[in-house]
Amino acid sequence: MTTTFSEKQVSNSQRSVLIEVQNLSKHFEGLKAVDDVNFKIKAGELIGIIGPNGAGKTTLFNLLTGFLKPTKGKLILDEKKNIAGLSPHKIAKLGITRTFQLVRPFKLLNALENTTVPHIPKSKLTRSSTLKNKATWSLITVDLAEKKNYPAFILPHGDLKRLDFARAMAVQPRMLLLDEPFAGLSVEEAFRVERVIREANEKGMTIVIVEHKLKILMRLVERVIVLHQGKLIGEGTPKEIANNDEVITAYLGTEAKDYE
Amino acid sequence: MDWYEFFEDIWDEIKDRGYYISGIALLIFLPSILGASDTPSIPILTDIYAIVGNIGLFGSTNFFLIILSLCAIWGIFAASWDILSGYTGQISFGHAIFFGLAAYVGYWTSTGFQVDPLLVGLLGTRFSLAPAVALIFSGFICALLAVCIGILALRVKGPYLALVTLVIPLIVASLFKLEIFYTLTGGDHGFPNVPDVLTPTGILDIDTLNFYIFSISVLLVSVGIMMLIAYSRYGLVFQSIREDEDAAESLGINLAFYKILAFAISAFFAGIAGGMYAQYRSIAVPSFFDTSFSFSVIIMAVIGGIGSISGGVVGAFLLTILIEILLGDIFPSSVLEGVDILAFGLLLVITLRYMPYGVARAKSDQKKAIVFGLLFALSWAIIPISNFFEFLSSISIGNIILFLAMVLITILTLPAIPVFFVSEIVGLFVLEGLMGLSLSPKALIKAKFLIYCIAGIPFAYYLPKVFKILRLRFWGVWPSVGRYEPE
Amino acid sequence: MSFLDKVIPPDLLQKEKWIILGLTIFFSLCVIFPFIVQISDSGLNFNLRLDSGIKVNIFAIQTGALYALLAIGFSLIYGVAKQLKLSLGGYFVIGAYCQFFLLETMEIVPEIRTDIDGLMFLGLVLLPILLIIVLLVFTFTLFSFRDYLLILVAPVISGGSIILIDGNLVAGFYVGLAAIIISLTGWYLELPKREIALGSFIYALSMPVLYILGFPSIYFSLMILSVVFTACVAMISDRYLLDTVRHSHISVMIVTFALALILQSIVQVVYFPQNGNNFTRFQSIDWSFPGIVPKTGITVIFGVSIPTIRLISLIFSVIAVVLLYIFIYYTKFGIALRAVSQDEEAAALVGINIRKTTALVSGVGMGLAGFAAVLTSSFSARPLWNPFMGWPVLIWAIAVVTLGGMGSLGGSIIAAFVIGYSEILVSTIDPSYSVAIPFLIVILVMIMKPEGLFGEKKEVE
Repeated sequence: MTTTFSEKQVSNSQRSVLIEVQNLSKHFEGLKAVDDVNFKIKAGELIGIIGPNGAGKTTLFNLLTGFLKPTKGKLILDEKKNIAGLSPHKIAKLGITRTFQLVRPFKLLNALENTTVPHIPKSKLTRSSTLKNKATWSLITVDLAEKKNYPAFILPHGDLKRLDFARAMAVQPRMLLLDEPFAGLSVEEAFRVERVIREANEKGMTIVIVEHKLKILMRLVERVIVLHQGKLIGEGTPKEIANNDEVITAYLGTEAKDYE
Repeated sequence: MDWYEFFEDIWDEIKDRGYYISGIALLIFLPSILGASDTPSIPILTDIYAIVGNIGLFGSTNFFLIILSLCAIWGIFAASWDILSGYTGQISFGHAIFFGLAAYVGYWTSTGFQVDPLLVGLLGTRFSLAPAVALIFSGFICALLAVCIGILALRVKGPYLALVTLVIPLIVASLFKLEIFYTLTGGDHGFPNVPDVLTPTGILDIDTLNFYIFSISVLLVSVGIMMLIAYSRYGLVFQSIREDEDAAESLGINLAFYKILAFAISAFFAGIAGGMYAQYRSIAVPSFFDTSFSFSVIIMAVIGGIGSISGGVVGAFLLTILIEILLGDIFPSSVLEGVDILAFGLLLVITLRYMPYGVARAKSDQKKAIVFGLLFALSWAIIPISNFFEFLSSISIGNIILFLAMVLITILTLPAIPVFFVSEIVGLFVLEGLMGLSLSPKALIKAKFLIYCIAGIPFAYYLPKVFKILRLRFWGVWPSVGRYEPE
Repeated sequence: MSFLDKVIPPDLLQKEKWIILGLTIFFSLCVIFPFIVQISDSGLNFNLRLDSGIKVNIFAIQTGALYALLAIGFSLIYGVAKQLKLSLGGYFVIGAYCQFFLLETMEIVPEIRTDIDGLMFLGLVLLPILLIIVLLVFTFTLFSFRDYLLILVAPVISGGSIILIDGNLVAGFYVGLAAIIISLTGWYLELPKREIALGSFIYALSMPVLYILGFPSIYFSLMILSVVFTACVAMISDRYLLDTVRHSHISVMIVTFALALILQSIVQVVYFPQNGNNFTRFQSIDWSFPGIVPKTGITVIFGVSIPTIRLISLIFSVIAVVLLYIFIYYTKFGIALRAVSQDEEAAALVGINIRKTTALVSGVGMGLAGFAAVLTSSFSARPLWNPFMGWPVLIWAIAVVTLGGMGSLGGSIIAAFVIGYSEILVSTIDPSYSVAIPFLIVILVMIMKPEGLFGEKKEVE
């Protein structure tokens, strides 16, 4: 996550379309997990995806990052290249990466090694000291530098969330997909994660968040996409979504007023 | 950087790896220690060996060297399994496929193929490689096969992969036994007289000392290479694949490439071990594909410690010496068959129960207990032998050093005297009363050594804890006040 | 829910249609093939013959049923406890040798008793008597005095009547022991005490009655004993060895492998101390499937003569599989098993004892292996009598389970028949390929569909 990259992003392509999802569908033996979804994500946006359980949010993430192959539909990157069906590591090299719903650190490696791994495939010929410096810098951005020698399995949950985030950031992605980054965090830890996300977005990274904690999500994101039973049922600013009748009946229920 | 800190770091590294460094040094100097023929031997150590040899714990020099060569071969094999399964997490239950294939490829290439008439001018009538080159060649062939299996492993994961790899060597073995391939594979009986590095004609007798030196040097080189790989960034990628495939792939790591790479590296060294084993035994037979080979290597790696290349080597040396030197003499196969397998199984279960990360990464008090138990067994099994004191008739430096060492060990292990009596009685009952075995005196010493080990190690482990409790009871002082003890 | 839905798991029918289609074609070809094609010295002949077709089909179905018996246990343990137990072969050996030991101590094979004597043999003979006393005391602590008397009646009646009728003291002891074990099993399965008492009472009365009617009831109780003994060994070892490593696949596999080694070498070391590998006499004995039929007995069906042992083995395998289905889909514990297999933590939250359930499932699975051992131990070819006979069994079970899909019982049964048919058909053409071809089928299917024919695919979360 270098400064040159972010400046270029912001100045060059202010709000150009980064990825366009066209008619994306995924069927599991009759179950339509994602059904004919269309939307666009612009560079530098901070987007939230919400929907009740089983709405197809995680499946959408898996499709975007290549862990699943879509039944039909296209994912157009930069308005020219279709990345649907590529394998995850190729998509990661094109600049799209993700975190997982549950924390998934490399448990027996320490924090520093955890953040070293994403640097390896890009820089095969760099010296190992440079690699170490880069990894340490990734840890510094999420305030974990003093715990760099701790093996991941002894770190607390909040630290692991930030470690996951740092690891994904170390790929230097153009778009980062976060799957429930606030789940299971205390209020204080959630604030720290929120701050880290905001900082990354201000430097120009596109971030997509799936989250159930609507209070945090609604004040964080610019735009919200609502999925219900695999279909896209609403799109707009948090305020619009909170007033959208279809969304309210599908998901928010009567408590919608609380989130304004 | 401060120079003082630099030296301190180096000293720490040496201290951490003290066991291994001393082990390697011991292995290198062992021929001269043992006073093997044709080599300059160190006089003091020759004396000591003469005494120990007289007592008969190790048998003759040449036998011991043969066993150590075998240990080295198993060490390479176990380490190669560890880099695939311990580091990359691709559990292979059929590593014997590389072992067996390498044996055959080594035979084919080193005895030679009949060359096609058109190529005679280019290569001569027969095309063959020197055994040492054939070894490396068979390693590469195994790596090629491993690439194929690696492609399978991209689709089949976790326990499924383990089960599939368990089955693959059996298929290959049954193909090798088919009659239509008889000229190629030698059928059920395989090939006798595999040429080895030192005697290319393939005579049964191998030059013990030189084969020992050869195998130990191959062990050092190949394990060194494997350790370099494991500690490099490739090792880091391998470990990340073991911990979480999906996460690693989402970070841009090309799973297919690295998995196949791990398979190829592992198979290369397994192939070298297999070729050496064929040369050591001078045969290449279908039973090299047996499940027992696959599993004994896993057992060695697990007892030594999964996920550390050196662990496999440690496990290989421990188990091979235990089986071949101790159990082989105490329970000859004519009397009790299956005792070695029983020992394998019991050791494995006990290790996994109490030291889940193996001997190499055991807790420090467990390591201490093992060392104490071994010393205790060594001194108390040997000292009661009367001819031990014969050496006083010829006074030399070696004798005095040995005597002092024995006295020191005896004093150190004095608290274990009750264990001595208990194990003496148990040993007599087990060995002579119940089984009705008639042991030779040397086998009796080995049996006692084994029984004292079994009794002494738990004793040494629990004694400090009991001592602590007693001190708390009588003095009322908790001995480790203010010290951090993570238990 | 209809009965058919319960017997054929609904998930089996929803799978991709081409698998069902392929399997149907495969099986119909396999069934028709031996009717049309015969092998003789001159090569393959194509003409319709009924007798060889029926014979090959019955052989194949019997082999398949046996593999199903082995694989179901393996698959069930994986489905519920998520453990791959490589100790299957060890329990197979234990089951076979337990049966043999019981028969031997009953003087059914008198010529063997003479050449083993001394302390070891005395211990082995006294062991069951000691066991029965311990079990009686143990049972006394579990039940109230009235129930205890009721339960004590069963072994006394059954054992005493057998002693009176048959005159064999040890046989009576064994029948009584089986009665106690039946009531203890009922207690372990948490059945109501009234039902336990009723069941063991029915057993006690039926034993002498059936004996008089000519049914080999002693052998039947010996079969129960050896199966339950195998299951007990499995449960105890599961409890004490696998507790710490329960959640790591690789550790479980290694520990259970070591367990198989230990069981096998215990049989080797303890049971035959002075005789080494001298197992030839087992071949010469004329006893067969628990003493019911002579080894060379032949039954004629549709004009085709078939070894009776294979028929009886087939019948008993089918009975065992049906009993297992009833156990899984109709009993309280079966529901608990299925709950645990779905979600371990959720099942624990609603009050299911996870430890007991996993122990029970490994007992059931390995008990099936022991049962298969009792059924096959009389065959001429496989397994040869030695302590290593468990390994090929394990390998075949693995092949079946990986083909059918891990944790899917229906898939395991179908795969067992696929493997059984392909093995028997290939061996009628050329026996030297009969190992390689079924394994090649497994590998090919694994490449095309890595989770097996009816396995479940895991999703990324």
